[in-house]
Amino acid sequence: MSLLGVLRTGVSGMGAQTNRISTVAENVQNSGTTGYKRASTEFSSLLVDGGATGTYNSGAVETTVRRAVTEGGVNASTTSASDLAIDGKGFFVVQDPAGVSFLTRAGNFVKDGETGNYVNSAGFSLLGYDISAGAAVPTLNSTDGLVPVNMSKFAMQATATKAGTFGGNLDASATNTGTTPSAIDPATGSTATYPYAKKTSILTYDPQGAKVTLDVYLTNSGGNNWTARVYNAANNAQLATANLGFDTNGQIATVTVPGVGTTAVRNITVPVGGQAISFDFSTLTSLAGDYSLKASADGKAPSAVKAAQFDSDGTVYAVYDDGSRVAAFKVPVANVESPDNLDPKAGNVYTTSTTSGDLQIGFAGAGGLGKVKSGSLESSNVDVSTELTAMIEAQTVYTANSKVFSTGNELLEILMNLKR
Amino acid sequence: MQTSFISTLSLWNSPRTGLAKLQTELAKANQEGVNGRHADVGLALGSGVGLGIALRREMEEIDGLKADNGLVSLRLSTTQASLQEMQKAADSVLSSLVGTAPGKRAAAIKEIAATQLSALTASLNKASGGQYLFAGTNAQQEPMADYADAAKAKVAKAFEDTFGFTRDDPRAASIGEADMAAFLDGAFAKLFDADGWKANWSSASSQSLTSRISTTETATTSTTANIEPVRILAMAYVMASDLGATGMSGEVQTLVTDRVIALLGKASDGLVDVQAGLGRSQAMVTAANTRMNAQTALLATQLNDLEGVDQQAAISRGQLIQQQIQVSYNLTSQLRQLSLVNYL
Amino acid sequence: MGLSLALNTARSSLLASSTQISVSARNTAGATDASYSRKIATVISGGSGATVSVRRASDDALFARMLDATSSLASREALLGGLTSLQQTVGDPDDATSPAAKVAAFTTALQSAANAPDNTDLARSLLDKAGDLAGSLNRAAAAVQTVRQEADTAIRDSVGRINDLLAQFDLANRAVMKGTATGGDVSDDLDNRDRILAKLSEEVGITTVARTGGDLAVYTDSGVPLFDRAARTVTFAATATYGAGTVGGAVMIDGVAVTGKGSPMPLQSGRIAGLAELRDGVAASYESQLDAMAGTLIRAFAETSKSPPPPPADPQRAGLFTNAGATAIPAGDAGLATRISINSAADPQTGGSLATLRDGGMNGTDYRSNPAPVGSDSAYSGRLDALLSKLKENGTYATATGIGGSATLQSFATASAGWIAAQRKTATGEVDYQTTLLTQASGALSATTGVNTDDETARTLQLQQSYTASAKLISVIDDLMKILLNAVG
Repeated sequence: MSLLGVLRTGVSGMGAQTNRISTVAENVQNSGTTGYKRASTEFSSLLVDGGATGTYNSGAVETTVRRAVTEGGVNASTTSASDLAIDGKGFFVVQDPAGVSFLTRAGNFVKDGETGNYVNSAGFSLLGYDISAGAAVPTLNSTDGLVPVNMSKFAMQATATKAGTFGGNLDASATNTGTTPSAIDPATGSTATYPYAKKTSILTYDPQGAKVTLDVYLTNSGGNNWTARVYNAANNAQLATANLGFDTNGQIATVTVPGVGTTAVRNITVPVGGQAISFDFSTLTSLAGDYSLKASADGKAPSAVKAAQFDSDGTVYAVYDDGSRVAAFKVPVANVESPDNLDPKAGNVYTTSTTSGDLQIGFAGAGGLGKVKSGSLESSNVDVSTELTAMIEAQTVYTANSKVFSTGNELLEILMNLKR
Repeated sequence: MQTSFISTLSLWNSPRTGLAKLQTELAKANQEGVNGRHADVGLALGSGVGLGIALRREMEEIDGLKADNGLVSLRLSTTQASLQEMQKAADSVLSSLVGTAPGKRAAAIKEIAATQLSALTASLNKASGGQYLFAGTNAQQEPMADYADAAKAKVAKAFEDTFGFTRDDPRAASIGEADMAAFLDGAFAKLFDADGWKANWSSASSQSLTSRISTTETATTSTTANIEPVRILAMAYVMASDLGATGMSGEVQTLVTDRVIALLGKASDGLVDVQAGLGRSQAMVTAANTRMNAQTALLATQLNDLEGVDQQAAISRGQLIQQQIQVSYNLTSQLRQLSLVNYL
Repeated sequence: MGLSLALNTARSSLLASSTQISVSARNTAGATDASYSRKIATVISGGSGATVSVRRASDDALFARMLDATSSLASREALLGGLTSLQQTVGDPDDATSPAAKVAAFTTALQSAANAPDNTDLARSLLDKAGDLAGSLNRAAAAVQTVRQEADTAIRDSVGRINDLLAQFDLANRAVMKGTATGGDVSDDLDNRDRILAKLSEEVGITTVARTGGDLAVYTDSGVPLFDRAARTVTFAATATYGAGTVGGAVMIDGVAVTGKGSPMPLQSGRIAGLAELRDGVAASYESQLDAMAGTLIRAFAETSKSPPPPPADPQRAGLFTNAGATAIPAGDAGLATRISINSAADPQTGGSLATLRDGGMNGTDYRSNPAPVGSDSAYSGRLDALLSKLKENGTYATATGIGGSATLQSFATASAGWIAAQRKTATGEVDYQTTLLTQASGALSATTGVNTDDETARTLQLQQSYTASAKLISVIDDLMKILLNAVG
């Protein structure tokens, strides 16, 4: 039983409400901050053991500040493709300029002119796995192998042609009216020209990315047989020959390469720029219909990166000037057991704490993790009206505590006056 | 999903798309209405253009033949007139000869025959349309030489060669009847056969002219100075005028005049035959002309059927198109006003 | 989360509405552009508000049909243009300007001359008509060469345009691929690419093959690649001047000749196909017809030597009609229509004699037909009659002329005039037909992909309502917030 205890309890109550007002102030202040997670105060009572019956010593109130990290904000759409949001659970892995890794949901990344990294408004760079050489192999519970997403190394890149297809129809009734250029036939070793019925060309790229146009002359050898001869258009050198045999239904049956023998219809190799291109003939037909040979091949010429494109599975593509794209990075999505217990740091970032559980690295859309949404930002999950209500509430409670304090004080004064 | 959607562009263009075509059609209809022919014959007929050209070619050929036939007719009628003149002359000499007493005949016809001989020469040298009528194919040369030029000397020479003296020699009276007959049938007649005639008298070609008088017919359309009746006539005139029969014995005189009478008769008959032959040609030309006139009319009709159009139909088509164009204009202007914005 | 969420939703709704309105405005602006396709703004509602994706109305089948009709029409129009020029050599049958009419006039004059061989007026008229005939053949041949020359130039221009368009197509295709890769709005790029394809289809018939990533490969209708990741070269060596028998160069696409006789993959449609058909087909056939006429004339009027055996090396020499004044009878017909001329020995103006028309002997007295001595027998009609009957004889004409077989010169010339008119009639019919097809295809395409301004206006009204509602919502939330703030104050 202590009047002083009452005064202390009043002060403790007022202190607790000050904390609450503080969180409200911070929440209201950050109601427009991307990826900001609302802070809330929870109170618990501290009781003083009374000992004897009939007496009561008032205790105090303890304040715990909690972050509503799991509570998602609204994903507001923006016009920047590098504005990212995670639609669901998980965090982006970012690092500060010193190279320390953090988690964040603030995905307002912008390409940094100096470094080429994608940096958010708090100065953290987006991390991802470089997958240009192969698929990403994440280390499950560490940030090892993660590097800043940066398109500079993809600036100029050529891809040599590795495979191509020949599809369509060779008109079975076509006659040979043209003549191929004169060249050394690699099959016979002597210079020869051949009659041909149809011709097409395919654009391929050598390992330096230089264009190599392959002229393909098709000779109707009669009896459901065709011969395809491949020349380099630049110097008319004959590169390969394939005898195509069609069955009575006009479907391709056998492919023979002179000097090599029968090969699979999916594997005719043509040496281009020191590298062999494998051509697939399996969809070719020789029917009495219109000629409609359509050939295509992969590979691409060197060109500048025009933009980065963020896919929903976290893959970052380098989009080139010629419209082609290359998968460059894979942005992981990290999570912890108890996100609400993450340790908040300045700049809307979090670090793992003992209570949050260990870091788990996964990929967007997999294992219950959210998808990466490009052109979208996660707004703050603060609702101003709720905060204002909390503020009014805190004010009221603060006033009540101050009344308790002043009442205790008056009682003390009465006690002091007794002595006079 | 819009089930019935039309774009504004399609809507606004709809009355306009056909307009250019309509206007072209209108121009065509107007032209056809005025001309009565297809506006673009080549386009309307296609390969039928060939038929049109063929029909025109036939018409042109017929026109050419008709023009040619005019010349032919002129030549024929002038030739006929000349032949008639010759024949009449022969007849008149004959009748005056027959009407004269046998003893006086030789003296009576000497001068007449001389005159007629030069008249005959003149007749044979007659030209028409820049062409000597009796020259045959050698039409640009005067066919007959004057008797006095060459033939007279030849006659005189033949007489001298036969009898050994000239015609005005007093010994002529002593020529016997038989001698004279032999001379007339021999050396004298030789001067008037085909070769002698051409050598002494005529430069005409014996080839008479043939002409195409219609697309299918040809006809002989002239005669020449080398024909037998003409030669006989000339022989008769020379015999009568230049043998000097008046100085001969009465028997010989009678022989000569009898021969002249016979020859004149034969010449006259021959000339009539030639006239008849040419008359047939004249009739053929006339018939051909009549036929070709009919043919021209037929061809013209055919051509009109081929290339012509019904003017009435063309004009009414033009009117219809005009109406269509007006409707189209009307629709366009109405569509212009039709926009939802105007009603808000 | 109350008011903040509501405010956010209202805001995104506002954005979506304004985006849709802007698409409507774009549509309205493009309403009169035939190659503009209607843009469709689709609202995708997410967990928190709406985003708008823009695609365009398109119909690949109709577009392909439109391209096809465009190519076919361009081909037929090019052919018709040339045929119309060629028909001028025939003209209206009434004007008698055609070689056939000149042959008729010449034959008639020959007949008249044969009827009155001694008539110099008729002989002069015959010579004039012969000159007319040779002149009309010369002019017709010159017209043919002009047409071929113009076609050649037009092919050159067309090839230039194709190369330009392919370069533009490369850029447009790249823009589409880039846009597709970055997920942007490619509808305008697609419109642009389609516009280029439509222009390209005027020059050459094309088919397209869609590839991954928005890429498009373009082939000619005969299967030669025009654009497949990169533009193929289209080359053409223009021929500066066309003389008799000049063979024009072939258009080469990707190293393959696509026009001309030896082409393994000849173009089927497009302006180039029509021009090539005109230059190498119709005009060449017509020229060979004219040449055949000229050859027949030269041979029919040849003079034969009358000198006693052994005959001279050239028993026959050119008569009234010569191969550009040469005495020899030409071995072949090629180019004769250009070179046929009147023998100067028959023309008094060049020191010749009209009498040689009647008697022969333009090549000296050995070649004289009239047996009578020179200067006599002026009404000799033997040669004229013989010439006339020879002119009316049946000759054999090569099938390469397009109207081969046995025919008289007159009937061949007439058939030639008919042939060119028939070609023109056919071409006109085809142009009409293809125009109708193109109108239908364009109409169908426009009806499917075009803009209806009324529809857009109505849509904008609807969007206006939506916008107003969202704005209203924001103002209500604002009011609520004020109430709350007042409560605090």
